[in-house]
Amino acid sequence: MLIKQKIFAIAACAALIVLVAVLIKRRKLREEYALLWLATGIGMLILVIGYPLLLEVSKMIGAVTPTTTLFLFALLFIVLISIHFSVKFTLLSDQIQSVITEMSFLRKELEELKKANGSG
Amino acid sequence: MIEDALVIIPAFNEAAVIGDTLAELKKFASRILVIDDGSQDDTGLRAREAGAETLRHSANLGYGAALKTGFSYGLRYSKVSFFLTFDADGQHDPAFLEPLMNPLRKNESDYLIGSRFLMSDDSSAPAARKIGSKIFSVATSALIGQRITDPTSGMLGLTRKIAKVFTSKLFPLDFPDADVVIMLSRMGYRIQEMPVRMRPARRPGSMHSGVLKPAYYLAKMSVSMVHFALRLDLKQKRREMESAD
Repeated sequence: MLIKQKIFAIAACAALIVLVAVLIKRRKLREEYALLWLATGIGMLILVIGYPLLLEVSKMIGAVTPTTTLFLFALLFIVLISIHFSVKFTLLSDQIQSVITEMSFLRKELEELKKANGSG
Repeated sequence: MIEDALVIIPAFNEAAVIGDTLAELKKFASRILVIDDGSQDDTGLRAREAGAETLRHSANLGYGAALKTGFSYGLRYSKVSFFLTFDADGQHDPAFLEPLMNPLRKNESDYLIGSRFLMSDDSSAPAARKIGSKIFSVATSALIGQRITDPTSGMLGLTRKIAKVFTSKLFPLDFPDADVVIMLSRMGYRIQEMPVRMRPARRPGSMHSGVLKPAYYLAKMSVSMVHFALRLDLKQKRREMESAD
């Protein structure tokens, strides 16, 4: 791996970790959502800094160059994060449905109460 | 006059036709609940003016979600033994609701589908819809081992037990059609079809009109049908739901 590639990869990983940390600190990102992003940044950093480990992993998966391994892992993390978001969106959709259903019941009860009190 | 069933009508932007639909329906059923699914027009107001109980979603959630709200409301606030579902656009002929109720009242069936294709003189459905229905009909019949001619029908009759299933997480929130028939069959419920007459809708267009929507519907429904066909835990889910009563 060229030194320029290494410096760029370390800088990118460090930037990602710092960005996630800042977002958590400002309460713009909840810890549970940040876990995968942090894991991505730290995992990539370990692979870049521990170059022999990167070579070993590349050999293990049959990659020709170490940078291919880095790109492959980056892609895998992005796929995992996308699946994670899809699961969260499904959960949120279900929760929104429940809230809107309950709201429709409450609105009807309120209308009936107002009517009964002669104020509707 | 049907008094032992709550007729649930999901409605989205149907202000122009809902009044006429309800005026006709009120001659046949006394308990009617309209779910205004976040309409941008006066659907809810027109339904209330026509004398129907009305619930309003503050956002458009889709046909299945509106039905789910209706069943949840019926189970919680009413003591009716049965539920009927009916389209807001005037396609359904309410004269066929009473025959739909008979097998439910006699405890011969848990889930009744009003099938337009059992009527020999039916010609109201558009060709594309007929082809789509035929594909789903063949696939559903093959998967459950029972002839179902109109698994996408929106005119249904069902018991409280089924309504409870429909308020669970199993129920699809967008287009509950053939997949639901497969799900109920896998759960061991008795499904039956009755002939009904469908008329052209009182207004043009449907929730499946256009090009992308039918394609999405076809893809989504296929995945959902395979999902329910492959699930092995549905009888267990039924036991859990019924033991929770």
